[in-house]
Amino acid sequence: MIKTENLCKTFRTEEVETSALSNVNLEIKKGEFVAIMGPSGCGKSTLLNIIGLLDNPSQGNFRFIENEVSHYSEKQRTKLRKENIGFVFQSFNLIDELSVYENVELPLIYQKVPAVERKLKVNEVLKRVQIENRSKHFPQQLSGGQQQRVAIARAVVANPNLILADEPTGNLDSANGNEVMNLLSQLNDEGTTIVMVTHSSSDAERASRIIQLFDGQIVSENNKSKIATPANAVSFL
Amino acid sequence: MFFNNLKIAYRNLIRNKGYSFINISGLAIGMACTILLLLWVNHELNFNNFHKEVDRIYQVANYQTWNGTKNAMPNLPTPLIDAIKEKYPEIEYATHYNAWGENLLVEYKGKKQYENIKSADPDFFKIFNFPLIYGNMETCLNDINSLIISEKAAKRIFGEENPIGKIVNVDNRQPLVITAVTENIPSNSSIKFDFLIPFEMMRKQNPYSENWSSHNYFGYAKIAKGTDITSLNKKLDQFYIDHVDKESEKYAFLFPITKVHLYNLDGNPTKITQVKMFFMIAIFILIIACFNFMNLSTARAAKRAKEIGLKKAIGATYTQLIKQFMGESLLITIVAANFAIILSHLFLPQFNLLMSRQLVIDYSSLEFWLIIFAVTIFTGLVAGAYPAFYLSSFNPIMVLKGTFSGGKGSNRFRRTLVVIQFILASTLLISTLTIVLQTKYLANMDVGLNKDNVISVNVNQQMRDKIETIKNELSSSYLIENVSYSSHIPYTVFSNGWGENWEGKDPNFHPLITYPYVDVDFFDVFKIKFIKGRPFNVDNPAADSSCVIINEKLAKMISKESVLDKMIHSNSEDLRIIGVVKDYHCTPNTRKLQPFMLRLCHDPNYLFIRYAEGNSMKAVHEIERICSKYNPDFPLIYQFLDDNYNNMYENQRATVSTLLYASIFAIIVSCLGLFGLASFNAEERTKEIGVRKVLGASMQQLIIIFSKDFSKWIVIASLISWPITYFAMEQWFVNYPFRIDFPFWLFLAVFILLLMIAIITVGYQSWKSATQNPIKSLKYE
Repeated sequence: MIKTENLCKTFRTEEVETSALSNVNLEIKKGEFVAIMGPSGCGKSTLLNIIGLLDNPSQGNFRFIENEVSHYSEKQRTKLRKENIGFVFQSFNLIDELSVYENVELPLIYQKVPAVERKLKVNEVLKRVQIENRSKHFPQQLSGGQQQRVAIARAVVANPNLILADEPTGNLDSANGNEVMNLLSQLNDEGTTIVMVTHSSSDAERASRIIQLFDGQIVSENNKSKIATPANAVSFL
Repeated sequence: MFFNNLKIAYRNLIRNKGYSFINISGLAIGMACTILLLLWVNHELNFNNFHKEVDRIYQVANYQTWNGTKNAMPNLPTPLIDAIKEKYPEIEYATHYNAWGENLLVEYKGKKQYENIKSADPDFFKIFNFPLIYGNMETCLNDINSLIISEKAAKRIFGEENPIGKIVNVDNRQPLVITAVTENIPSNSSIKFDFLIPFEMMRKQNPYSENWSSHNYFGYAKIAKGTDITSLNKKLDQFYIDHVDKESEKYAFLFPITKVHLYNLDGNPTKITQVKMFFMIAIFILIIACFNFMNLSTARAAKRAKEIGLKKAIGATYTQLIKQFMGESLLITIVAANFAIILSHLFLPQFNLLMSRQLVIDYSSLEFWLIIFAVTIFTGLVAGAYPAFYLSSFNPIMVLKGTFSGGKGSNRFRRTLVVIQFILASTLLISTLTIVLQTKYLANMDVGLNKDNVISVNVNQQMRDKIETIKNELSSSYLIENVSYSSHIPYTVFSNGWGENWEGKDPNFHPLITYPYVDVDFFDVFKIKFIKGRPFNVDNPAADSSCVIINEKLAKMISKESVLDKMIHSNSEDLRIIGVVKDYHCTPNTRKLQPFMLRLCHDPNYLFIRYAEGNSMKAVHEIERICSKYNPDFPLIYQFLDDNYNNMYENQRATVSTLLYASIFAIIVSCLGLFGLASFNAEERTKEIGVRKVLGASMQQLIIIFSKDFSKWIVIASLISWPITYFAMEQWFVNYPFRIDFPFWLFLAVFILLLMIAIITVGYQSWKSATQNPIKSLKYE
């Protein structure tokens, strides 16, 4: 599903050039649950942004569902992104002016799904994350755990091939965090590919594979073989 | 998606009530000012356009040459209109048009009222589109004793009765039959009348005007369909030479009626300058309001950043976001436009009073809605474009990671906008105050004659016959110091000649000389000083009937040495100079000082009565008593000369007041924006304020820190506005021969005023932040 070859990302300011990722080779297969770990500033989020088609790499190849996307324009990336990827963020990023229902509906609107179908899908997903009784509430009226459940609902409502979760439990207490992780595991069990950036070892334990990043490079991989991974999927550089 | 965006916009408006209020009220005030000014601009630009086939209607005018300069004049010799109609088939219809009299006493069944009566030829109704309520426009001006009245006048005199066939008496001597009633004349008509008689009547009464050298009447013409006006004007250019006098230096021409309100007959701008100025001001105010919107929208960008980032992440395209934000600003503009319409409706009566117009908002007219549509779209696009592009270009990675900040670029942009707002406000205010000072200067300027405590009384034929008796009886009253009579009000004499000659005069020099007629006491009544010579002989005025008294300016033209006893040849008479008076303004002081010569008056139009100070009303009663004795059939028409003089500046005062209001609104709208920005700034700097307080900053120090930034902007705006204003006003002053020195002190005064307003505006927010408990602000952060 995702394959990177010698992926590099460099940030340039007027005086400094910082290498955020260097020569990352990574393959993620459909149905995998991959956790990316590492200290702050090691390039986890940069990698997640590139995988999420929010950013282009500076060098290297990146194949996403059979497409070489490293040189895709913003418009092409947007199209691919909205059809295939759902996002879950540490700070939930729900739109304060929209209700729970309207927040979840938003990706479907951008995909031009007809209203009747939207209603069915949103209600179904809200039921799945057990927040249907709060559908008319606004984000500020919900607890952190509830907000993240809404964010997950929004991420999965369009039935994406891939969910990218950036420290999804980072702002939650352990009980709520657990609940969110249960949801993600459940989604993975149902066949959705998940790539999660996390600082939490216990959250990472839920993944089928843990990738450690350090200074922009993959330094280790712990394959729990929930789904078989090709032996050369990760190269140590 | 549209409804989704609408919901977000609506909820944003509701949630941020303060900002919404500032945004909407700023835009509404700005748009209301613009709508009112544009209504006026539209009204002025469409003067005379209500006539059918208006592009075929022209004012007949001519160029007259003095001193080698061609001057475009509307006054025509009487025979011209008939002659050009006869000679040029391209001229389909032509009419004279003139006042028969400004104060003619119209009497019907004992009800008397002075009225302004105009005169025209039968072609008048074929040229102009003044629909009749009663009567036949083909025949209504045919009979010499006809009178056409307006609907307004008909209601006033006859109530609801049909006035056709009724007879009114004019000036107690002329019975006229009402043959038609016109609909009321639109306010944007250059030709305005309530009473109209056949020109034939004037012709009959003034047979002496039938010569080619007396220019007393206006004329209009309608040209045939398909006529090329340029070639017709070429023919008219030769008219005087071909048909009147081979040596003539006069040239007839036609000037479009659509332009007469806006331009001089020579094509030089007149009213159009004011129209352009007010149009610019309308746009200025709208831009200031738009800048507020842009400022507040971009300042609050951080609040919208999460929404933008998220939407981008889940698939919103750049174009979709631009559409969303443009739509949002259009929505706010539409809300503001509704308030603007209400405000315009509420303030229209005051605005009309200010502009001396009777503008009405015709809600069924396409024009009005086009203005509203144009203003709304312009505002929505100008105000919304930058924020839309700015917000839509946010990097979603930074936004979603929470590392986004508004950016230095946008801060600089906001500052630039505030500076531009204050440049406009400062320029407008300094210019307005300069115009106020100039108008005040002209109104209070010493024009060389003393017009305080003087009453002028209109003299009719009945009074004219007994003028000396009336004068003597008035003079004998203890309430009255002095009495004089004259042909003109002394500072509005537009009676000129250029055929005067004197010994040693350059034959190519043809100055335009003004000649008012006065009596022997004129100089005492107006306290006019003599430089040389003497006034007319009081005891034997007849002895001075061939004498003139001139002013300094004419004396200098005649000779560098003494001019006393020199002769001026004028209209086949030789006139001896017996005195030279100090220059005074015989025309309004918006014009240059004119050379003039005073002659003894036999046919006075005005009596001037200097009354004892503090006795104005008593004097009026005394004048009424004496005049009614000799003029029993006519009510007295009088006015205080200082009021009359002040009225000359009414138009200018209206302009000044409008400018003043426009400046005030520009400042209010600018300050609304400043207030919004200051509160945003205070919100953003809560943590900084907390830290500073913990470290020991006093409230005053904090307020200074806050106000410093804003004050800097006012300084920059003022420095930029000063040279702009100076050069603009110097251009404006070119039209005034008598002017004030540029009031540089206004720069400082306006700067201090704007600074104070800004500090007060910002001060509240600064004070609120500075007095907050630092623990709270740090905790909040």
